[in-house]
Amino acid sequence: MKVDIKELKPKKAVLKIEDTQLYFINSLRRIMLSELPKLAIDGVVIYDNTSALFDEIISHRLGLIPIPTDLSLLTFKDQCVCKGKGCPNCTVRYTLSKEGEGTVLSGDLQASEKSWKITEDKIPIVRLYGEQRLILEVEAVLGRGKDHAKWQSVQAPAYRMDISIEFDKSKIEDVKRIIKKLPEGIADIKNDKIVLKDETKLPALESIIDKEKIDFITVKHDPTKITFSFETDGSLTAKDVIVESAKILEQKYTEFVKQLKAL
Amino acid sequence: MAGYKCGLCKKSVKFDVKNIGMQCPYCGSKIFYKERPTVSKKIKSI
Repeated sequence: MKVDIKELKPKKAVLKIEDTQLYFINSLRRIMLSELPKLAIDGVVIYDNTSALFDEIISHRLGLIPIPTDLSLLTFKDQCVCKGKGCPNCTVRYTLSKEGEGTVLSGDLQASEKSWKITEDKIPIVRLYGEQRLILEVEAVLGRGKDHAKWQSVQAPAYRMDISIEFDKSKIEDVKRIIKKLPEGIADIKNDKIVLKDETKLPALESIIDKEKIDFITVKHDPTKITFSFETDGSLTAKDVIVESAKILEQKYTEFVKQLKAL
Repeated sequence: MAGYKCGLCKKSVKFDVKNIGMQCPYCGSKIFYKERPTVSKKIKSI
């Protein structure tokens, strides 16, 4: 397997993976969606809320705020030495107190320790008018995407197979006519093949092939060469996401082999 | 006795819920808002 990093930003990654199989990439994608842990607000203690929104709506909005997560420092609440009571090993606490005209933002949540400060601090929670006030305390715990979407740190993980567009050389004039129908500059003919400058524009070509029932152009997909891309909500970096997901997948395979050996 | 806030003069008043007809002793208004209890409320974020 050969992995080439096309793009790696704190919240986005594009990888080109060769000599692999679709099922492997799909396993990785599904691990990212459902098994990768992250912090999210779970319990909310509301002391006062005179805003226009119900307590439940505010707590729901709080739950969806991405919280920076360091997986090396935290354990799941039910696996912690405190036996689920809540301690610094499994729970991160925040307080919020705001009164008077203005918007309550995610950045108004004050962390018990500076290292847990919320980085996405411009997310609006509720608008306060006049002398309205909101005083609350929250606790964030680790969770997995399969339990609730608030614990899903990866958005839109997707993969795309490499394509090769071939055509019947005797119908080159027809092919040129088809390319002219496409938006300008997205396709070209090189070495008896149609080359797309941006492979995400393939549906534009496919729609013309379908509409005109063209049989002299064939789009071939290569399942061993895959472009895999995903974005994160900011709670984990893109690098952490791929490394941790691979670790989880490895643990699952190891456990599977262990179970098989016990048969 | 339940706590209410007068809709007109905003003053806190207490009434026995068994009473028929409620009127603010300060301004005479008949519109009231129920006051939030002073105890904290614990809810799960779902």
